[in-house]
Amino acid sequence: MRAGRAGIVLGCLPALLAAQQSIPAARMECPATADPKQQPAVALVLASGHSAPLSVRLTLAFSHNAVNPADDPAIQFSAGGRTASLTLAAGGTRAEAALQSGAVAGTIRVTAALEAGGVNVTPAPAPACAITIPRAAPVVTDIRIERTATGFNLLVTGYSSPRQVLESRYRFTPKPAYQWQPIEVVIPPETLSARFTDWFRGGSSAQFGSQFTMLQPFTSDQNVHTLGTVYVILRNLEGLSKEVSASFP
Amino acid sequence: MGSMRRVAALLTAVLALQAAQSTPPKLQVMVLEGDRAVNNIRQRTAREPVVEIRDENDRPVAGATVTFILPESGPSGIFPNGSHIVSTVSDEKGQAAGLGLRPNQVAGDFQIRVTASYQGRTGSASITQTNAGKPPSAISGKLVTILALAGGAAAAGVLVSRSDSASAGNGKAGRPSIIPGTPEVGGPR
Repeated sequence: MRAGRAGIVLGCLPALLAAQQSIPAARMECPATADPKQQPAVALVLASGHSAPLSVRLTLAFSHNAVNPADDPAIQFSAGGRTASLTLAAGGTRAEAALQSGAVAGTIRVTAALEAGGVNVTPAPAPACAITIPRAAPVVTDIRIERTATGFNLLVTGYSSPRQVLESRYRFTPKPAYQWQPIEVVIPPETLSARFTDWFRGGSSAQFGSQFTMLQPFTSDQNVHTLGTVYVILRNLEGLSKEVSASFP
Repeated sequence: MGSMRRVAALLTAVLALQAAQSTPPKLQVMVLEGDRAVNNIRQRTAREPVVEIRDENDRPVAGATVTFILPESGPSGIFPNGSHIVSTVSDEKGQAAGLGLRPNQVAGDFQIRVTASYQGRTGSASITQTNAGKPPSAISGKLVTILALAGGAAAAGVLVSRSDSASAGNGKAGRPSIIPGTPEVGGPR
């Protein structure tokens, strides 16, 4: 029995020795800020190489800073999930991973845990860094036009990191064969804001972060065929989106 | 202490001046007609709101987008597009009207919110109206028919003149009427 126990101890010895060797100073590196829908890189960096391979486990946590609160399931490591396992070869000093920044304003905090030979060698405090996803103006990613019996619908897809949209602005211009002054239409906060608040506070919006599609119906007349292009701008408390256009068929 | 107060006051004045310089001048929205009007619920008639848009030099602004917004519940009304909102463009006199307004059947005071925008400048005003009278359900069937016929003709007239007005605000052929409805928001498609 004693020989058996001694064998086990001897078998674990390399790992124990590796673990007992002091881990070089470690820190996490990540950008201070990242725009929504980006893939910032994060890295565990050692001051010098370690004699044994290290297993690095990264964990991310998100705390929102949105007007209408929600987590964003799109915030995860590029390989999927909110943990990532990396291996730092013996002598290596840098292990990197990428993550998806999602589309909700807030702070992503990434924390590292280290193991050598199966033994936890995470320094205290654990290396960590934070990425701020700022509140920003809305972004329009797509506009589609659907004809209806009485006019047309605009389907405006986009995201707004504070999970808020206050106002929409539309500018219609004619097809080249026609000449008339542009028509401007504004859907003001009194009408639009509550629609977006209802959406962002509803349970079904959580799976989409701050993404949405807004259907804006318009009634028109027999001259609807003269419409050439619509330009769309959305506004939230942070400012105006870039103008995005779509052409009428 | 006195000099510090003077510096603080000077700083405040400079900041206020900077803020004033960086803010675009506001549009003035003058209410010409419809304020304090009493609408007849029984006859479904309302006083159409008319406003005039002026710039910082008190000159009329033609081509401004003017939106009339009615409350979605309680005492209110409806525009010919079936919506509580209508947008139009101010004419060469800077004037715009919420044509075809009809009261709903709820008695009481309500506010019509008017917003105007032109080249990044905005302005707003409120118009107070009152819905009064009893709903037409108390009227006899025969009279309802007569009123409906008369009302239908009037509504048609309103729609035609609306179309002319909105299609151009200025009579140029081919310009379509564009009336926004109520938006809906959901998941990305």
